[in-house]
Amino acid sequence: MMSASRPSALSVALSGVALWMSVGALLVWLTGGEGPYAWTRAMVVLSGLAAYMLLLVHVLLDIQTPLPVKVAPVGPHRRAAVLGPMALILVAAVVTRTAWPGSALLLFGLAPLAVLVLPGLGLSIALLKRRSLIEQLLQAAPLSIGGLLVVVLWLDLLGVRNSLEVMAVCGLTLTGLGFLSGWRDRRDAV
Amino acid sequence: MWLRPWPLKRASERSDEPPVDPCAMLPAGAIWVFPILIAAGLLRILPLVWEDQPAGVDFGLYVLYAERFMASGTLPVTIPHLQLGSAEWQYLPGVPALLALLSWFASVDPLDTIPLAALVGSLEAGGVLLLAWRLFGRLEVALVSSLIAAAMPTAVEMVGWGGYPNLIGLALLPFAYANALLFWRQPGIGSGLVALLTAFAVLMVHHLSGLWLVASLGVTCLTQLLVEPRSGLPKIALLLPAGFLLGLPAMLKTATSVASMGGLSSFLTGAERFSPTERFVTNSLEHPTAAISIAVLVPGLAALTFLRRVPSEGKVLVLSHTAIAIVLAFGWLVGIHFHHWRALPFFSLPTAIAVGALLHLWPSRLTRAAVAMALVAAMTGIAIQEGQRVSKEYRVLTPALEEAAAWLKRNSGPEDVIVTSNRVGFHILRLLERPLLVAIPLRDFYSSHPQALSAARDAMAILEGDHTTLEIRRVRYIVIRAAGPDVPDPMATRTSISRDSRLALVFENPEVLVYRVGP
Repeated sequence: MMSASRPSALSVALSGVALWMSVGALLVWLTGGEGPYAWTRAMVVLSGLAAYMLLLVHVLLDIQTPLPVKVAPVGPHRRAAVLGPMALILVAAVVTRTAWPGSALLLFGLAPLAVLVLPGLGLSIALLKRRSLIEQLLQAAPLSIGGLLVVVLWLDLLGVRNSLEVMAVCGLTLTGLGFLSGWRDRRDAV
Repeated sequence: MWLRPWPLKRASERSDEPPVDPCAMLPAGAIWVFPILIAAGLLRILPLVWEDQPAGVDFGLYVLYAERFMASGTLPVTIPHLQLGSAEWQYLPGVPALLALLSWFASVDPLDTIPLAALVGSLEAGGVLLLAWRLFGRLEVALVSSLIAAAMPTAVEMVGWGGYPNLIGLALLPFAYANALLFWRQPGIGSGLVALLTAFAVLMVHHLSGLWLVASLGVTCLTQLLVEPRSGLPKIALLLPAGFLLGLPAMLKTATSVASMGGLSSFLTGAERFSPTERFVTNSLEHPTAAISIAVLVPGLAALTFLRRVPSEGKVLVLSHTAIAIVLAFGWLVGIHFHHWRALPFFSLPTAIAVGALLHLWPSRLTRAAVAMALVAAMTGIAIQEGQRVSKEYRVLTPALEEAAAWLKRNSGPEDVIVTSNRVGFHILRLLERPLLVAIPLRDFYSSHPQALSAARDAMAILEGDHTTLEIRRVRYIVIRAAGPDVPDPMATRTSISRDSRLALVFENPEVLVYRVGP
C-alpha cells in the first residue's frame, strides 16, 4: 500500500533518467565515443534501461507484506483416485513392452506416460500434497524430466552404467513414492 | 501524485479486488488447460508431419548422442568425427538422455522418438498457466496466457530447425518460475524439492534457458532479500543443502562443459561478429510475431508493474526475465557480445504474461474475450504459416540424403575426410562414420564450439570457393545439397567447385551432390 512518505513518480522518474544519462555520458566518454551514432546508440539503450529501472523502483516501492498462506485442504480420496489409473497404465505399459515392443501404441501412448508422466506424478503426489489434482497432473512431466535426469547424472557420476533395467528401477521408485504417499493418505482418511 | 497513463490508472483503481495469493489452488476449470496442451502439441508437431519427411537440422546430433549413451551406458564426452574429432559435446545431456530413456522403454531407435520431443515442447502452455495463475489469480486470464504460449510461432520454428533443447528448456522455464514463486510464499520441503527439480530440469536441458533462469531468479532473490532479509534468508538456507545434493552432478557437468569450451566468455565471444546484419534485424522486427509481441509487451508489462494485486516477487521475476532478454538481444548496440537471434525466443514468455496483464485493463468481459480471441487467432495463423514454411525449408533427412550417405560408406575409406554444408552435416555425422568438416558460419547469429572454430571456418571457406585448405585438411569428398536453402548457398558452392579441375562430381541424386577431390 502507498504511504505519504514515498517519493512521487515524477521525482523517481527524473532521478532515474538523470542517473542513467550521466552513466551513459560517462560510458561514451570512456569509450571515446566511436562512430557517428555513438551518442544516439548510447541514449537509446540507456533510455531503455532507465525505463526498466523506473519500473523496478516502482515495484520495490509497492512491495506488500506477504499474505497469510491459505491452503484449502484436498481430500485424500481425490489423490487416491489417481492411484488406480496409475497402476493400470504401468501394468499396460509393461505388458505392451513385453508383447509388442516397438509398436505405435507403446511409442506414442504408453512409453511417454510411463517415462514422462508416472514418475513425476509419483513425485508431485508425494511432494505437493496440498495442491489440487490438476496442478499435480500439470507438474508431472517437468518433475519426471527433472527427477530422471538427476538420477541419470548421479549414476553417471558414480560410474554406474545406465541401462533399461537400472532406469526402470529408478522410475518405479519415483512412481512408488506417489503410491505410498497416496495410499497412506487414503488409509489415514479411513 | 503518481503519473499513470489513463488505462493503467483505471486498472489500478479497481482496488476492490484483493491481492493475489500465489499459493491459491487452481480451480476445477483449469482442466481446460489439457485441450490447450493438445492444441500446442498439434502445432509443434506440424513441421514433422507436413511433408513426407520430418523437418530438422540439429537433431542428428542429439540422436547420435542418445545412440552412444544407450550403447555405452555412460554420458559421452567427445563427438568422434565432428570437425575431425576436435570438439567435445557442447550440448547438455538432458534432451539426448530423454530420447534414450523413451527409446529404451518403447524399444525403438532414438530417431523414432523425435516427435515425442516436439510434444514435450507443448508443456510450455501448462507452465504459463501455472505462472499466470500465481501472478493474476484469475483463471480466464491464466487460460488466455496459456493459449498465447501454445500458439507462439517461435516454438514451431524451433521444431523446424530441430532445436529441441531450446524448445524444451523454454517449456520448462515457466514451471521453474511458478514453483519458485510457490516456494517463496509457502516454504517447505515439498515445495522446495519441486522448485529445485524443475530448475534442474531446465539447467540440464538447455544452457541458455539455464542462464535466464539463474539470472532472473538471482535478481528476484536479491530484491526480495533487500526488502525482507529476515524471512528471505531462512528460505534460501532451506534450499541450499538439498540443492547441493540434487544438483552436484549437474553443476559438475555444466562446469566441465563450460571449461571445455574455454570458459563462458570464450563461448560467448566465439563468433567473429555479434552485430547482426541490418537485413537480419529488419527481417526479425518486421515479422508479424515481433509486431504483435511488441504491441502487447510494452503496455502489458507496464500494466503488470502497476497492478497492485500482483505479488511483487512475481513482477520482479517477469521484469527481470524481460530485461535480460532485452539486454542480450540488443546489447550488441553497446558492444555486449551475445547472439541477437538466440535471445529472441525468450520474449515468448513475457509476451504471454503481458497479454494476461493487458486483459486486466478492460472491465468488459466482451472486450477481454474479443482481444484474447483476436490475439490467439493471429498467433495461431502465423504459427501454421511458419510450420508450413519451416517444414519445407529444413527438410534435410530424406531418402536422398540416406542414399548419398550409403554410397559414401561403400566408396570411401574410414580415414577419408569429408566436407559438408551446414544443413546436411549433423545428419551425415550420424549416418556415416567418417572424419567430417561441417561448414558453420561464424558471423551473424551462428555459433560453434570454440574448440572447433578453425575446422568450421576451413569448411566454410572451402565451400565458399577458397580451396587452399583442401590439401592441408586432406579432404577427399565434398557433400552439398543440390539446391534449396543451405549455408553456404548451394548454387554459389557449385559455381566455385566447377572452376576447380581437381573436383569431380562422383554421385548425384535430385537432392545431394558428392564431389571427389583429385590430385
